[in-house]
Amino acid sequence: MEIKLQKFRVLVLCLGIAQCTPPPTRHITPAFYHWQTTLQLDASERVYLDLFQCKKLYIKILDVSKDPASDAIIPLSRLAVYDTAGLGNRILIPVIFITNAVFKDITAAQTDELVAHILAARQDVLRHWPARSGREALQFDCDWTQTTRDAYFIFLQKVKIALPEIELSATIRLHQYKFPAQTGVPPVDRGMLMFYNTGDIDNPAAGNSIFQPAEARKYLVGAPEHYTLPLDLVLPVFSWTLVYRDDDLWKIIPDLPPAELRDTARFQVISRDRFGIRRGTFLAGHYLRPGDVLRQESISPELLREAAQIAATADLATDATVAFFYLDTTILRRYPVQQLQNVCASLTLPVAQK
Amino acid sequence: MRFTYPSGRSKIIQACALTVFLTLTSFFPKPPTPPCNPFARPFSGYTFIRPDIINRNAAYAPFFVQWDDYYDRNYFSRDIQKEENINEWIGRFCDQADPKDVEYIVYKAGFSELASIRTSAVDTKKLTPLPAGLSRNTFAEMLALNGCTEVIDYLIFAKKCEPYVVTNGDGWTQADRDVPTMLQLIEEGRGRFKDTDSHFVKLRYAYQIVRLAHYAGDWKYTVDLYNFLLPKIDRQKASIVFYWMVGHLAGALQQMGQPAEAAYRYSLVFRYCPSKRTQAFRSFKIRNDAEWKATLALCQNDAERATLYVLRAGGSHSHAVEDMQTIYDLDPKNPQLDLLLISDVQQLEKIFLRTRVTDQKHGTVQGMVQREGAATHLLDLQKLISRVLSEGQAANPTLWRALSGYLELLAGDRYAADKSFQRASTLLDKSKTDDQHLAEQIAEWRILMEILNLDPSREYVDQQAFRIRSYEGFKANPDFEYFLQDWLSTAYAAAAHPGKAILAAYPPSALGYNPRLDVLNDLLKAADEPDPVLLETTMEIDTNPDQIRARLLEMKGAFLMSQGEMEAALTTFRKITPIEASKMVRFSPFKEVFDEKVNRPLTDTLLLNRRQIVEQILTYEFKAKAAEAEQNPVAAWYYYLIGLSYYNMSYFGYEWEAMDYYRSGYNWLRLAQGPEFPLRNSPDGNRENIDVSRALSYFERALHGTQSPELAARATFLAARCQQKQWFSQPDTRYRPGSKLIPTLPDNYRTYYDLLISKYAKTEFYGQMVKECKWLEAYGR
Repeated sequence: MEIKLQKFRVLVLCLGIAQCTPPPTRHITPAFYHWQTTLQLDASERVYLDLFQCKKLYIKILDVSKDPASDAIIPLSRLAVYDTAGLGNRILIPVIFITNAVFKDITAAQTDELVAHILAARQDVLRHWPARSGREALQFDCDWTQTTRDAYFIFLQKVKIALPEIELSATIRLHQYKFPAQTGVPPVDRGMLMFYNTGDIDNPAAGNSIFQPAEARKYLVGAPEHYTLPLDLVLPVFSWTLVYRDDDLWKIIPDLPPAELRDTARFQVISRDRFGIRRGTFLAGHYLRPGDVLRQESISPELLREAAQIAATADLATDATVAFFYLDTTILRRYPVQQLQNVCASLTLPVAQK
Repeated sequence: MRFTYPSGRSKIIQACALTVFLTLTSFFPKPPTPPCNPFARPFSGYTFIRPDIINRNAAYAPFFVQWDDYYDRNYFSRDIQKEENINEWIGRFCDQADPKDVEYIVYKAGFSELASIRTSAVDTKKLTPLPAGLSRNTFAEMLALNGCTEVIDYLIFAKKCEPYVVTNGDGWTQADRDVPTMLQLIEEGRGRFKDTDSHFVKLRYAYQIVRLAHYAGDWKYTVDLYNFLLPKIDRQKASIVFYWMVGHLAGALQQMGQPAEAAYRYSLVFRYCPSKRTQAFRSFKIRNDAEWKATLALCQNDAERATLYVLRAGGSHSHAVEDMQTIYDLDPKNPQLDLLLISDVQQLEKIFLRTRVTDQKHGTVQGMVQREGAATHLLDLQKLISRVLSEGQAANPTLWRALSGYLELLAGDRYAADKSFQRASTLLDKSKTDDQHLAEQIAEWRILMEILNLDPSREYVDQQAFRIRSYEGFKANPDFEYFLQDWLSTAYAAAAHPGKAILAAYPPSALGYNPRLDVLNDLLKAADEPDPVLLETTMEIDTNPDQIRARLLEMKGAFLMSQGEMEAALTTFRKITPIEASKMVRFSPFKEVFDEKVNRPLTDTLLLNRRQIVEQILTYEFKAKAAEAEQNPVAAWYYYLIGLSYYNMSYFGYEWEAMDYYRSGYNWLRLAQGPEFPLRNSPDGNRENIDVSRALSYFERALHGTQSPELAARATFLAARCQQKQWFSQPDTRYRPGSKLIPTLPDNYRTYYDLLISKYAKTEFYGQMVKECKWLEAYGR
């Protein structure tokens, strides 16, 4: 028996020695998401992308949802291409967002129809893009659940059959990354790990819902060592202001400049990131009333760096794309190019050195 | 031996167990089933406001009040634009044409048909007949007989324009606009506009022209055309087409960066044009206070200003008291005030009719927090109503009076509510349909008042609830039954009746998910009452009270067993009458089953009911202690058997059901979060008996007391298994359920595996186990 135990310990020792071999360094390709409904990069965005040497853009071309009244699957927010300046020398990847509701009780015929519609929509948008761009890859963004998993995966398989030559990818939420046995792994070529939305957006008392390091770590602890898809990474650089009314989330105001809330005649500072309303006032198109509470959420450069450090311990591909969500002039002002370059550089380091 | 964890098969076993449990608890009837389940849709709160109290055609109702799909069915499902246009055409022709005929000519007739009508119209001798397909069309006849060539030419032009302004892809794809042709059509239209005498037709040409310019994306041209054409039209007779045109003007102004100008025009469209009201409501946008002031400054009168406040209130969907006060000051008879008032009351009822139990059932913990904030809102609303009623200015005072009563009811002032309902009722004219609807509404609120008046501290409360359930009005609104359950349950809990509180709001199976002694004792007390109303009358139980008592006692005994309180469990079981005891379910927990299954593998000859199991355990304990005192090694065997039974009756054992009424295999995936797990329809979740420390302690006593290596090997193996389960249940466990990898146990959780491997590897038992147990084999390596 003692001999057996010794063998066991030798095996452990061997594994330990094996782990001392330096893991391969990741090669990082920087990228950005474009999530607006109109495509028209302004000069500052183009310059930023050039300085950042960002050669890859994920561009949302369509939202697909379900009409609650008719139960029909409908297209929403189709991308309008106003100007293609600044796109020509980059890899463009169309992204399609589909709500989870679409796949609830979807029939085989509806799936086929959806695939046909989406392929047509993709084709229709691509004709406005620079020649030959956007044809090599396609990404789907859907927060599927256990009940919709099968329908979503069948849909993806059908898209792959229809477009066998392209690289198909899908976004992977953190809970899907942690529990692949329960949530399944989509039948695509690559996954894009969404490293944000870790908090509770509905709870007015909760902290930053975009990213909280402790919450993010929980998703990595206990996750399988190897995710079965090569994983890219998307990190948050967006900000939003959440409006709570009667303690319920009422509105989301994206990219509100902090200066907007400095008018103390209208807004009352509750804490560093929380504001009350002194008198009825319009803000970003919404009429706010006394009693409403605003919570401003953004990702500071330090928090972004920490997010990258935590994300580096995930099972990212050795040729990972690191994308930032999302491209917008006001957002980019907060993040000097050097800052994002440092974030990308930190992800190239092998895990053991972190 | 193979380790098997909850699988499809075991789920079947669990389903069977559940069936057994439900059979056992079948003496508890199901709560009455309402005609339809409101929870089939996402739950947002209870509502007791009937849509009928507002005229369903009330101008802005769909934008402010919410009654599920009421307005989808009665309002948005209609093509109002088409209806209005057809009506204008009919009015233009002295109400002589049939609506279907007008619809055909205006919307469906092809170019050739329109051309043939024109041929007939220009024939002054009226010898050219209409084509056969139109021979019975009254509108075509009128056009032909009256020589209405201007109208027919316009219809032909409109048909030419249609493809360029309508066809824009199917939503998935987008067809490119043919701008050059659209510009050509604008030029053609301008020429026709100039040559047309009829202002009715001129207005329509102007509309087509402005629309073409808008859809061509030339915003400035759109505005210029509007400004050029409109002054040339005599608009003495109101037309909805004018507002269609204003809608396009507003769209162009918005694109040109003139938000106040655009918002003002959208407000006009919203106020005067039902067919474009939805689009105007959606397009109306004020970004900041400066734009709001600029838009207000554009208004020509107080009624227009009131419309802006109505739109502002509609955009925020609640808390419109401030806007309502302003609208009232500007335009006291504004009928939209009724809608805004109801909209706010709809928000408040969802908050104030929410109880602790509602939150438990629907997973919101913020209900009570909302209630505090909403109190101020309710008071503000009451002040406004009081002012409006005292000044006698309301357009519909009876409705305001009745709503005042409903707000008082929500505020808990039931006496005042009763008085308000009485006063409102005296104002009603029962010959009027609207007042009949309001009378029915007040009757519904009175039922709600009866429910809110139920007081469990008084006698006969259950009979009262039973009577309320019999009302037709109660049955008509499915929210009543669920609200009554929540309300009664909350009231019972407040009156120190935790058992009744559960039975009032949940199915009887909820008692077994996470049994509580106070709950079971409360129900046992109720069962001992001479007239157990809740169990028998209100819950419609028609069965032997001994049976009810026996099942509750058995549940209590099983719970005490799970707590290791065997003497207390035995005392409880002894209260069950012999007849009922003979019906108790039987188990076999003393069998050595090393396979990790959660179903009984074999039918054992030694099947014991729960009372007999407890008696057996206590007997073994007695014998073990006696033998121990005499230094007789047989004590170890008794301890081993007790440990075996505790393990087998735990969550991990095949006889889990002896100490638990509900086991979820899913919890295996989240053991570390236990022992209490969330479960829908259970107020306290689901507790699983995952603590195997008691079993472990008996295996340890067996191990230390035995002189037999074989028994020691058995006890060590099962002690190792207990340690393994303890580690699986630790918050920091690294064990991944479902993983095919052999889990590595931390040192402090593998002491008995190490002991088994190092000390008992030569036993016959070990030899058998290592062949069958992959984990043991792996650890042995």
